[in-house]
Amino acid sequence: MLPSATISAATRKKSLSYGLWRISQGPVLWLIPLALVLVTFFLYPALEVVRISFTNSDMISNTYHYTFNSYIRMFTDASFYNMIWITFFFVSFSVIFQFLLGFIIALTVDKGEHLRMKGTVVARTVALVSWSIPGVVIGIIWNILYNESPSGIINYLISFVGIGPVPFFTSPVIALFAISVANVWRGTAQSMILLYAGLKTIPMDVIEAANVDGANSWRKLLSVIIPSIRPVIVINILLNIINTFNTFDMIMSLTGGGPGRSTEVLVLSSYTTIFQLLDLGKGSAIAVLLLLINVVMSVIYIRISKEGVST
Amino acid sequence: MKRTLCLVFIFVFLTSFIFSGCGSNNQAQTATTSGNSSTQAEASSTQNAPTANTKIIVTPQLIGDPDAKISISWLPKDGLDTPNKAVATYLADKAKAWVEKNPDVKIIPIAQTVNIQDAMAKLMVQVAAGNAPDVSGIDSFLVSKYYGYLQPVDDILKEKNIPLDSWFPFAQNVMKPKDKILAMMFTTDVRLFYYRKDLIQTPPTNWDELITTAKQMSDKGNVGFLYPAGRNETTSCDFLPYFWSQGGKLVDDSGNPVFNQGDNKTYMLNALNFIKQTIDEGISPKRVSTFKADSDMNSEIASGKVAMFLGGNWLAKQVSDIIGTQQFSDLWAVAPIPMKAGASRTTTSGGWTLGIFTDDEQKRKLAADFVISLYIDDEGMAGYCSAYGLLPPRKTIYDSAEPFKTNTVFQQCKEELEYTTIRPGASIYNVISQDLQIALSNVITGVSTPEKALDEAWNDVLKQKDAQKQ
Repeated sequence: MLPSATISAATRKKSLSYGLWRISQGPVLWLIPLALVLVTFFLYPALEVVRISFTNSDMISNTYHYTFNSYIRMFTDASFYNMIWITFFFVSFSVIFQFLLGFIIALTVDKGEHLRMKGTVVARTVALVSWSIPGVVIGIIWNILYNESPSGIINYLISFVGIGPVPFFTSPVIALFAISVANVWRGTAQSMILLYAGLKTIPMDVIEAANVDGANSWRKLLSVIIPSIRPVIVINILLNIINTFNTFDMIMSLTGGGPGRSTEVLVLSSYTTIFQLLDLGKGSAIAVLLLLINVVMSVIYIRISKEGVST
Repeated sequence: MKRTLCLVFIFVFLTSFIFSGCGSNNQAQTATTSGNSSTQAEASSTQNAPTANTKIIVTPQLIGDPDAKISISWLPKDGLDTPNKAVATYLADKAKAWVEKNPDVKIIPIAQTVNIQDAMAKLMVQVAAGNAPDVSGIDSFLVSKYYGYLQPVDDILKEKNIPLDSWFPFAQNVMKPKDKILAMMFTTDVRLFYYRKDLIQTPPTNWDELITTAKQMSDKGNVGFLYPAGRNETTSCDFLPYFWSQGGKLVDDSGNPVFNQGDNKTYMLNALNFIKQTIDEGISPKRVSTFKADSDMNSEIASGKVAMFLGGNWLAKQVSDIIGTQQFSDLWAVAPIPMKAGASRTTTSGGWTLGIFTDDEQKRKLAADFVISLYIDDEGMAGYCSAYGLLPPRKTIYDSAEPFKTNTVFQQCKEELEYTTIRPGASIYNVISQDLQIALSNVITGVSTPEKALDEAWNDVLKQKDAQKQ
């Protein structure tokens, strides 16, 4: 008979190996590398920005103390509320027209395929081109189009019908419209692809049943097509909102936030506050506000995605 | 499964908090890691090294013997991998010659990002965290922010027989803020007034003459006068000479903003009203507020419809490259910037400096010796600036080295550099500059009157200054 101490040691060893075996069979072990990458490159920098936003840090010295002053300065800055309005307009205009244009193109391409028309693939590809172009390049392209000198393409073309020259970048109001239109051009392709994929999921028998019931095109759109792809539409709008809130490169190369502050959106303000004014605390506070907006949108997106999966 | 996901989430969250709590110590870790990775890159690039009977290699990642005992980290303005072939060749040849003379030393170049603002911000973070490179190129506009960290080089310049007064006066002020030389300026630039000499017999010398001449040019279908006024630092560089020439000061000796006080307010309003006048009189189009860089004017200048413009000396080369050197010299000439009648002759300059951060005595001397041979001594400055097409900040170079000695444009630049006023090194300057850019833009587009635009800029600067004190 073995002594009891030896038995318990052997049992412990056995149960430890069993525990390790259990862990190796589960997902935890395999998730650790991914978790480390997420922590190091995504979560840590984000939390660091949150931490810095509660300090009076600048780029010049390494001394700081914790304070709410960055947030107080942000919310008491007169230009902040104008910037919020500019951002709100830019995002609203972009998202509405990106969705509408994307939906129209997706419906057209889908209808064209049903009618076995030629050129639907070409139309899809052309629409996608704008999606693949980097924001800085889009800025340069639209700069050439909007150029206010006699060599500006749009002003040159509209001069044939006796209009213009339009002050695309020197009128604060028109400049805001101009960058919003450029952003609509940029984001329409994503809407088109998502909505086109959604349209492909609608069962043909549902459409045919609507036809049998004598529904006209408008009724089919409102009562069959849109309700059928509702989760896709919501996800598309949420993604467009997140993308537009984060649009920086295109505006930077188009207007740099000018004239004056008329095209300075939140993300651009965060950049200039940190890298030009060297004010790390306030710049981080603006970034945190942007982060909160994005987190809220992402949570809604995740919830709707789950609902979509469960239905 | 839910429990497992919960565990993973808690692990992720706790780990990130541990990371976050480490604060600036982690920055040190990151910098050290990047240093290691550059060292790893060296090994893979040795096959490209020029073969010799020594182990010296010259690559964008390493210069010298990989086994050398002393290692100097170097953050250059442009590394050996710069797309400018002439500069890359020059730097490689000079660096190779130096390490051959100093076989115990290897130079580790650190890659610089193209965006100067970002690169300087990154350097600031490194310096503040105690991870500065041993020697670095620093934008002269920002060098004052590093004075507290830079090591003096008086003894080394004296040993090399390079006197401080061989630099232009404005450069001396940048290099020697108090009693020690803390930085060495190795390139500069200057703002010039360009005019069409085939259209304008005598260049205007003051604002009134400028407006009269520009109107005459506009009547003939030309754009009278162009200047950059978009939201960028270049706008401040082109605008501030109008203010300084009247005797205006942006900040007082303590670094407090004063540009809207006393006579300074009058000078600033004069300058803003002049800009407004250029728009109201139709001699400058409102689109000048879209020019964020001097080069944004190039296409219009090249079209042959511009009579006069204000811009950096580098535009001479850029426009020459577009329209041809011969045509440029046939059409264009430079003159002092027209100022308010009775005001003094002024322009402004920027440029780059070199600073030594290492406090190791041996490395300080070696690092300084290395960059002096590349950029500062007579041969180095003439070689680097001519390879790049930049202006040397040492006036003696214009008397001793080609092409600076005989080239007319370089000689005119030399004359203008004597009248340079530089932007103040006060910590509030960045805020003043940005607010003045916004004020200019608002005046040009008609959003604000000069008075209102100036008041808005002033109020914002005061608010930011208060925040700096807290």
